[in-house]
Amino acid sequence: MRRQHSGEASPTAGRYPVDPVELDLRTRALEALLIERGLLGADTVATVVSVYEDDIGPLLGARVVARAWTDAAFKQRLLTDAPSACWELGIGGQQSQHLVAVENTEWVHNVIVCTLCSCYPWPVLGVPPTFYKSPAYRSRIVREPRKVLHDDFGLVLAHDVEVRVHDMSGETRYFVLPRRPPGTDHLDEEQLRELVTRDSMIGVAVPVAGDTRGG
Amino acid sequence: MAADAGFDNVLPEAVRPPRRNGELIFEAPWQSTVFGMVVALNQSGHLDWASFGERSAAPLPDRVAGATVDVGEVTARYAAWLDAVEAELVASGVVTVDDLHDVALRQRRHDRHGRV
Repeated sequence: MRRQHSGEASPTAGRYPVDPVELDLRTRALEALLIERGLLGADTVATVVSVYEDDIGPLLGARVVARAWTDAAFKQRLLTDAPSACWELGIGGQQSQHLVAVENTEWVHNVIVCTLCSCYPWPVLGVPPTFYKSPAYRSRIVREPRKVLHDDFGLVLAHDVEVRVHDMSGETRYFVLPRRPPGTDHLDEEQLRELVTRDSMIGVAVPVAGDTRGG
Repeated sequence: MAADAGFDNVLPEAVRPPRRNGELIFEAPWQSTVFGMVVALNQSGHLDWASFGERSAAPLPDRVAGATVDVGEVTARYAAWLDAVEAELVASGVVTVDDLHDVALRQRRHDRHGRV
């Protein structure tokens, strides 16, 4: 193997061809080295990947929701211009230009879907859950939303509550701003974040006081 | 719990982690390992996104000239990440070029022994 002793280019440039087998080998070697040198724990990589695949998104959305619950002016900005409001919290950026927040109220319950494929407001929700991508959910939630919410998700809504189904059209990415649950007046913003679930921002669940995401 | 590293907003578009409908795409285990290592190193203060972004976006003449295998976009993206993280670690003095060479050799020997 040639060694690179000089030049501006990466010191590893030219040492290997771009061959996936070599890339796999170098990666494992580097991870082993960094673990030996104490820069990584044995589980660090797996943990980071898992966090990004499962947790990061909903955590961001939860921050947005909790802020909206505690700051009326922010909530208005969120409903008027979600990308800008999210960006105030450092969330989103270029990938979230088409986010739209839809607010649950005493009289309106919102739920989101993409009937054509499975577009998803991932800058604030992360990875779409399996049910969201299923053809069954995508077709049934628009036809009989109240029944699907009740039968599949155990969510019972009063008869006088209007259920609005928002289908991702074009580039718009809806997400639900759920209602702040009763009995949470004493909680601060950080505590409120814990109550916001991914499913409540899809609209198939509602946040409940005393129920944290960790559970 | 780790906060979002924010790389999507700092890295040039050409080198951001590939996504499909927002989901990170890994076509092989080594790619998720590269991703995890880079994010972990950033979170522990050993890697700066701006510098890493520049390195991973800069074409490497040697590698481009020598690249004969059509590996696809996702593999190419993470190959660039791997090159860049190695270069960052060497530049910051965390590892040396010899270290990288030696551990790769060791890994190769280890892999060969595993094959009976």
